[in-house]
Amino acid sequence: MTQHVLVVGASSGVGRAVAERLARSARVTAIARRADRLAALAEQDVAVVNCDVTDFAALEAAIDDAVARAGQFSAVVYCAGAQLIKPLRSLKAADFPSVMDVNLLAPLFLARCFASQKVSQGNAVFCAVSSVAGQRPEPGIVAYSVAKAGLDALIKGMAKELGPRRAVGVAPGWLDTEMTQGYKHIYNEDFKTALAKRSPAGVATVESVVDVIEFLLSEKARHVTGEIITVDGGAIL
Amino acid sequence: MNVEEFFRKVAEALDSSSELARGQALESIEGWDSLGILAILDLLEGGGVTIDLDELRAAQTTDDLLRLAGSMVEWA
Repeated sequence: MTQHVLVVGASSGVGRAVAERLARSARVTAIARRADRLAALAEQDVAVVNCDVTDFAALEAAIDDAVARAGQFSAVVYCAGAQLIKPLRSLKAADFPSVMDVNLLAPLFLARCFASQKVSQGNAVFCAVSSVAGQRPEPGIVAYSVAKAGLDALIKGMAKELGPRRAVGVAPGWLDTEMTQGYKHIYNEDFKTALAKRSPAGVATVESVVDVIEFLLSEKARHVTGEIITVDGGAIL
Repeated sequence: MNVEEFFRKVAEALDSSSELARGQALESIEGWDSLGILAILDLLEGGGVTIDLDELRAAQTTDDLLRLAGSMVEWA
């Protein structure tokens, strides 16, 4: 069957790089919230859809349209994410949706769509970008860690329930992306220097994460499922 | 908000039960630690003030916090 990959959260960072990489060898549909970022992807033979992933009705419609246009997905890569850095005592109830919707509920909804043979091929692969925070929560990012731990559980559950379809994930540490750059009061030069010191294999990059995703989607990883691969240069060791 | 209200919000953010005073050393305030600093950062950002974390870490007294808060606090 045709290789048709859905990349969700393709505005920037890992999602954008995944869409660009996979477009070399497969039909790619990319979904992103920021329409202005999609034009460049469209020039690289990527079918682009402007959609807020937390709008589940719009997401489902986008999926149906993509399947009608290019066939069931051989792979789905979920890259959308939202960080929240606040101590627990500063968290407000109004903060919860911002971190839970994008990091956990949207991939859960996507998994529900992926589970149907009308949407995904029988040997399709679901890959989500998690975080080392899901395995090792740190002070100040507990809510984000909870969401990512839930995402890890989703991946493992999908692997069990949806076989022979596979479900996998990658868990990067801090990457140099627009999202982390947005936290410049924390992600500053001192932080980067400290991160480099505690990363024995070097600080992970967007490209190194995309390399692992490409492997996990490939036939070479045909017996890998339910696994979340840490890609952080060894920083959490 | 006035200085008194600002100090009340700072104490609340730090989960401190004590009343804060002008010129008080931040190290003497219960809750002034790395998480407390993040909480103050959130308080200031909520008031429309953007500051560098290192600048906040370098603060020594409640007067420094007032200076960082800038227009968020009305000086009567």
